[in-house]
Amino acid sequence: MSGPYVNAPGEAATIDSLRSAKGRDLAERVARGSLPYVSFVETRTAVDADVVVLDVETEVPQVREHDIRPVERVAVWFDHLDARTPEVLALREDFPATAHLNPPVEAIPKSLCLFEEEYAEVRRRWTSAFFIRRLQEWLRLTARGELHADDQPLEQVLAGTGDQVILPHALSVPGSATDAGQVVRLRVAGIDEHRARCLIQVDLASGDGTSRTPDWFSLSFTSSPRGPGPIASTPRTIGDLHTFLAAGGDDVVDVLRRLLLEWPREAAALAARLLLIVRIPKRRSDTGDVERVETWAFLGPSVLDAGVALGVWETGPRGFALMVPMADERRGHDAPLTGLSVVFRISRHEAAFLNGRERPDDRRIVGIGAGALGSQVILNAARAAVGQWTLVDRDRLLPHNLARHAVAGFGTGHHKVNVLAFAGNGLTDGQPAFESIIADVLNPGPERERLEERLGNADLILDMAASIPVSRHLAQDAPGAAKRVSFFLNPVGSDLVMLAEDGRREIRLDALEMQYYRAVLRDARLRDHLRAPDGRMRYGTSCRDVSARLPQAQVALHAAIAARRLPVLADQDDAAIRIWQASERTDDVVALDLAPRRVTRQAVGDWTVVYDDGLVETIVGLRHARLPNETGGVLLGAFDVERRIVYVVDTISSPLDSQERTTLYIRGVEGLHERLKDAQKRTFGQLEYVGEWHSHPDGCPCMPSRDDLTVLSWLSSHMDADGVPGVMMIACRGAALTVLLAEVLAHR
Amino acid sequence: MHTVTVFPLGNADCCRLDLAGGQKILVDYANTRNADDPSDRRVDLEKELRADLKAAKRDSFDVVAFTHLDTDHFCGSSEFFELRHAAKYQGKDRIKITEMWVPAAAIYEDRSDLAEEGRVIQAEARHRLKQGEGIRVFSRPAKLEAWLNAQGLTLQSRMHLITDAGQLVPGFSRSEQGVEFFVHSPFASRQDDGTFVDRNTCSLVMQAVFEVLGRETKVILAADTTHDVWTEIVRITKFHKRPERLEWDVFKLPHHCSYLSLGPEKGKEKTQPVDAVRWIMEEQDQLGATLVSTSDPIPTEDTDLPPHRQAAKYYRDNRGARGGTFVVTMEHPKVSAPEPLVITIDHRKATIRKRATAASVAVTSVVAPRAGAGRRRS
Repeated sequence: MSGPYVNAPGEAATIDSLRSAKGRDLAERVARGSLPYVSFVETRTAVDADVVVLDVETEVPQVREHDIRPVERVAVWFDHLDARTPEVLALREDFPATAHLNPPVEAIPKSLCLFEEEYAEVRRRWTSAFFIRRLQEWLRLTARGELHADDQPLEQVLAGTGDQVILPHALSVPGSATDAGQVVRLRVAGIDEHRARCLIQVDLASGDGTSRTPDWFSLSFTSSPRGPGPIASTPRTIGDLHTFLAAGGDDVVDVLRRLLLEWPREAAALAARLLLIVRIPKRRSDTGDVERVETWAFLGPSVLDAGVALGVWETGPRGFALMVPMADERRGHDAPLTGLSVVFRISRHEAAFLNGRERPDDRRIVGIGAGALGSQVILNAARAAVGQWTLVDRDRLLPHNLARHAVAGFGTGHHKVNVLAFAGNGLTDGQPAFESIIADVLNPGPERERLEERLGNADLILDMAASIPVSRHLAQDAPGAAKRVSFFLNPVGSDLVMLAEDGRREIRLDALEMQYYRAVLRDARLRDHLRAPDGRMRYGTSCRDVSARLPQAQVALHAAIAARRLPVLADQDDAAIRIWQASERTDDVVALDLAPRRVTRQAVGDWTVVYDDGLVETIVGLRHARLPNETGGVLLGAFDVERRIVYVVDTISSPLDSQERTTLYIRGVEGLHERLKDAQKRTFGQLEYVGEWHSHPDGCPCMPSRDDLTVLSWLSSHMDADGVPGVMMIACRGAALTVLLAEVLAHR
Repeated sequence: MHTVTVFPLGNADCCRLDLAGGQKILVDYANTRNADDPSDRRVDLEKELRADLKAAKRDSFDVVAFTHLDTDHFCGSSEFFELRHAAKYQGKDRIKITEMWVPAAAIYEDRSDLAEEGRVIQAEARHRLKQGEGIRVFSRPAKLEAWLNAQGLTLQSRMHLITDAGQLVPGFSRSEQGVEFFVHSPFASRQDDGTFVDRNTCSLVMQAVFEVLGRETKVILAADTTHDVWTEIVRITKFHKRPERLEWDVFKLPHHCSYLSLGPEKGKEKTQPVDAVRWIMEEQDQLGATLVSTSDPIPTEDTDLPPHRQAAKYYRDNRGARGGTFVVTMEHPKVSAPEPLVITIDHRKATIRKRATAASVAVTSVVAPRAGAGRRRS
């Protein structure tokens, strides 16, 4: 059986006498039995409202999170003007304090918060059946503890409930269960008032907050843990609060008196207002662990008035006088308290939760490059609690950067990494997840040691510097075993490129870059990938210099994609090359996956020749197609003179006027020049001529013949003009290539 | 989540278990509704079951259990199910039965004791047992030996199709399907003792134990058991020290709320149960349990046929102490418009579904009435 019930408001009245059309409709339908699982009890009327009392049969499981009974009696309050959402009061005296009650939540009867929508929105769809369904749904889900659906905000801020206070996240969690009586000094960081409603932002005070004259006497007091059981009513004075807390053995009056005595006594300090946070640890049984903390926040009187109400001092015509001894009978009943609704700042855990993730991702990421793309990727990740970041960039945020940078105008003139770290760390409470290093990765100067230490300890090194030298440096020279991943845009900003090393770093960024160029050369879908923006002056040669004119939305689109990939990247062990192409016309984004190929790094003299299985396959295929004759062609690739590396990437196959016989190959020239120019153009000059290859027929050794050595010599004499060596490759039976290098003669 | 659906069929039984893994088990089938009587509030069972199967894209039940061969537990079966023993019961619209469960009596009971349709069910059960597949018989194995030998079969060759009282039904487990079935009846001491066969006392009584995230929900499917059979079952259960096998969260009450399931005397206002039944009802029920009477609405007058208001009063009065609920299928949710009783089972144990259907859902679940200009008036 249910009950006992408290009386519904108003006086008994007939259904016909109700003035609220909604109330009358509900009463009539329920009385007629046309709504399932509800039965009629009575109707009542008050000065400005009608009340319909119903018994609702609830859908409750045997095992309940909250004690909702199979039948609950409710009173529905319809105001005559139909200006407010009809209010639902649960009349059972011991109806539980659940989530989604209207404040004050400790009131009896409890007021159920059925609607998150504005009443204007609800009214549009209101029918009695709709209302009953919603009510039954509220009871059903509350009984199961599922009303607070995962996809709802953590805290629901009720509109128009009065003043609010935003508290540090640290105050929302139980902490040590034995900290009863703990006093934490707080600092009011800001206050914003709008139409007589104010919002106060509070931080934990650092050090001794009393040195300067404070405007606020603000502190948090933690009471002794409480077991289950209803809370009587909201305290209206310090005296009420004291009485309530004294029942649990706490003496808040004593605490306040002591702190007031320590407070400075100049006029301005005495005018400071009391902001009192009371934390009540709750546990399920009288001896169990503290499971959560109920937090109350109050605005009180000035320090001066509080002191008087607590018998600490007296004011009179002659001014201010300490009372010795204190007037113990004054226990704050003259010190009014106004309740504030409490909102907490979020932790990284909650940020992760709100982003649909189970927990924060605390892997250490060194993020290099904080420009348009980098800054947006980083802040996207920051909001999702992905990564413990070291941000590296040397530039300041300049006014023209604001067109596409994640940080708004407040950061202008500061170093990009500093403002980004500030923005990232400001999102959540707790240990900062961002640090910054103002440095050029290629020339870090005094930051070298710190930078190298961070690279050495990183779980992931993320290159968003849009700079080939930086990528090459990270691939070849920088310390740290963590895989490197590059994100950059193509020159017109339509495509996002991702180059990701494998976990063992066998295919490094530089080799991935070369394979990417080969795809640009060969894949029809990438025909225009490295096209220069229309009308742009070519002052540099880097294909990662993005147009100065590019919509922010396009950068945001690509930054979102990159941020989505981040957690996946950190997990995946294989190397990857992926290009996302955003269509200008339809806004579709298509991803192209290019399978990275195994890389061979072969030392030849004091140079290293780098090529991959993709090139070998092409050459072996061409050789096979011409057997028993020899064939050959031109090698395309790139030089890194600084590191003495030749990358061999692709080939231009045998020109038509070549001579291909069983014993010789003479490479012709027909169309060769045009094809070379086209390759250079299509790859933004990244691929160029690096040498020659030819095949030997089956049964011939892979070693260079006398003729081959002549060609090599011819090659070196030509390449010498450019100061680079020429590569000669010989393809014979089997998969391996013989690699020879025409040394630079000048060095001989 | 598992679901138990009990259909309002008047004084008749049909209960469908929908397991979380998709298996469908039907316990009894009694399509009692008179389609020609617009005031008949019993549900159109065939239509309900077909709609459910169609939604699940199926044409079969994994199990159909006939707890015993009384009309109110099988009527209409020969028109609804595809039966393997005769071509006339086969056709593309008929619903297939992967495995049929019957008590031993359904095999060897004298045909002349059965209603015509009961003989069809018996023929099907016998056919399946002879074929050696698609059947499970609940019995002490020795009891079936004579019949099997008469068919030229050995008991050994059919042992895997026979389940005795006190055993779990093979093919179901808490870890795999999330449910196990413990068999209480038929049991040997009753069937071995004599020359006559009382169909109700030989009916199939099971305890289904669902387990979801480590939490058990126990459902007793009580067929038409009378108080003297309960006394036997309780005696045997206590003898084996297995009282948990008679614990219950949901109890499908026997015999449409008949007083004879409680005790020998109807009583003036309230039936007094015999000790064994009192023990089951008052000590074995779990917090917030549900009693289901598959019956017509409880009358206000004294009646000869069930449901008996005196028995209902006992069940109703008894439910309060542990927050239980007494549901009468033809009164749920209201007498004027009964609907199938849906009980969901999950880690919060059993929940009686009580949800109003939105009009848009209701209206799109049925065929719209005829519209259009219609016949020209002459």
